[in-house]
Amino acid sequence: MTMITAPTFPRLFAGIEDGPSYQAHLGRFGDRPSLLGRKSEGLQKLHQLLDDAPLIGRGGGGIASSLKLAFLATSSKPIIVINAMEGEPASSKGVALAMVAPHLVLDGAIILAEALKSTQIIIAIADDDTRTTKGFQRAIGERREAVTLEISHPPAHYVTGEESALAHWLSEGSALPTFRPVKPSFVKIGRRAALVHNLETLAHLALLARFGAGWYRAKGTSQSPGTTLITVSGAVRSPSTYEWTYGRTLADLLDEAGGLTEGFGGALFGGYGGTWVGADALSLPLDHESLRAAGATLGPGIVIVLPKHSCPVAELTRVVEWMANESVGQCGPCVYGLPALAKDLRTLGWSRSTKMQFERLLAHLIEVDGRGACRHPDGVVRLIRSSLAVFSRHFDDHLRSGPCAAVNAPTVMTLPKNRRR
Amino acid sequence: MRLVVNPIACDAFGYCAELAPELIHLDEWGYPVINREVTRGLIPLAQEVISACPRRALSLRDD
Amino acid sequence: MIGVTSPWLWYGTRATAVVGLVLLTASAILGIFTNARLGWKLWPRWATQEVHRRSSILALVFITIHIATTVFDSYVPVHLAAAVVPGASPYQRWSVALGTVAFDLLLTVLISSLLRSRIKIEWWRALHYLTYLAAPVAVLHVLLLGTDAKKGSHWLLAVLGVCVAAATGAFCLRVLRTLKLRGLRTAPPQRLPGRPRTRSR
Repeated sequence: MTMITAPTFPRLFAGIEDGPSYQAHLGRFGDRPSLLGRKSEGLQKLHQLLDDAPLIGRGGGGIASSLKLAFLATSSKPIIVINAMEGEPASSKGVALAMVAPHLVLDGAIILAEALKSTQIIIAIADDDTRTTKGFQRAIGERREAVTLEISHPPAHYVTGEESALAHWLSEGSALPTFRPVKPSFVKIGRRAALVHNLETLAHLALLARFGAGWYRAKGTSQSPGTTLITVSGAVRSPSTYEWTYGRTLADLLDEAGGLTEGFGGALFGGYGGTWVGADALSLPLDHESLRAAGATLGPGIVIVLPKHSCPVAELTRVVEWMANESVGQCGPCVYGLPALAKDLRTLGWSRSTKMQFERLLAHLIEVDGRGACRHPDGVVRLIRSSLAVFSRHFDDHLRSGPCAAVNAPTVMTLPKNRRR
Repeated sequence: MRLVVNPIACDAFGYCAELAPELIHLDEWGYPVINREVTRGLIPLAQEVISACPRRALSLRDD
Repeated sequence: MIGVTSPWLWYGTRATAVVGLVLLTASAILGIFTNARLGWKLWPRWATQEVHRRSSILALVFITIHIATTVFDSYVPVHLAAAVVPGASPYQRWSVALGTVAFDLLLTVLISSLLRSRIKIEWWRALHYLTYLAAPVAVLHVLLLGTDAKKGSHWLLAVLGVCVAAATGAFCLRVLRTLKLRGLRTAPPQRLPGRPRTRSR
């Protein structure tokens, strides 16, 4: 029997050399601790643990996991949903976790299930994501558990990873977001309560439960303890998913990712519904508090670096067009508003547009903001608004003298094919 | 109190804005935008608007 | 049952039937227009719905009186049960039953509408379609039982004809418009130009 030592860094990727097998997982991290207890004892222990860390959800909402727990009735035995939907084209942490540490994710979910006396765990993986599926299928096959572990395949769309869309899919087979006037609130699958967690959050929970809140807090900042997975893409030499200690700067992360391929033109944080930050981004510590101060979030852990010589208007336009096509078509302001925004931007980018056309864009931003059932349109508005702020000079150039030279350069942003609804 | 539109249910009939222009206006595509909070005096009007909605997409919330 | 008979009751039955018929037709047409979203400058669209709601309630009030006077009139043996149970009338069993069926259907629609804020909107909509079943049944009831119609009195047949023609016309308009709107509204917004690349996973 080998001694188990708590990993210092990396944590989630500690076993990257050992391979993803259950045996290697047990060898490195030891047996899964149990939060089983009589009546609500387990739940109390879990609550304490999540609060002490505190473990903040890695799905993008930045919601404390203990808060999600608080929404559940103590007796409800929720279905645990592992959210492994990678709707964000620029994220690959789901695949990374499935390849490297699927057992941490499963451990986290099972610890949660035991504490809540749940009997069912569902892993939601996009139907076109064969690599993540294979990783988890193999991991499930290696284990014998009292809870049922199953995989569900919602259609791959930008919004199908949204909590209510997932719950809708699992209850009725329709992967569309539902209207929830008060957020955050708990979701239901059929009549049963459900607890949806991003797969990374659960992987952290697996380690937190083993090594304790003190260990968890040993890395990161006081308000953002621990480490987090960040997928870096764009103008870097080695785009990939990195485990990152909260509080270390973007410049350091870019070094880790092999350095820049050319000059730094700005960074998009949080994915396609995220926020652009200009040159100051480089010195920005990557943690919740610093990013919040800069008006951004990491979202589900995404940084896209724009090379200096690309055209931000063109990049933005293509992303907004892609996002417009990703609308699931439920809410009028999204169905009509996003294509209108995309059209405004295309006019701005590729032809000489007038001041009036620019003002139309601004008016459309106001009309679309906050008017969908899910946050899809809001994300697009945030993306455009932050672009306007960060790249104001470039926008001005377009307004003054028409399309720039870089407007038809190949796109930096990953734009998968939009799937038909 | 505030009026809340369920944007999924809403089908841009536009009756709400016809009935209560002081509370609601329509956007470029005919979908309602809430202008202001519902003060005590406007509650009856808000309720009328809610019952007039063919899609039952409006509700009054207490937060 | 109190045995009362008076020609006034009979007049009442006939008159309320005709008024009810006309109001129901008006309500149906307005209902159809409500859904087709037709409106004019001087006639806001919500007004169509409002008048539709009110005229249907009024129509059912008249039909209730029509039934009440029939039941009350001891000249024909139509009892209270026949007001809601189809086939419970020994007099003209099947023709009266048609009226009863239509009344039950419309009553269901009315009740579902009054409870609209408490039931699922899909249920309400489904129940509203019962109107399309009630209409031909009611027309048949008028044709078979309307004493004036049976006597070949032209005025009732004319009223009935106008009602049927108007409602059918409105219905056809609606079908045409739905087909037209369907093309416009459920087509996904035009695909935007872009440069899709395959996802690099």
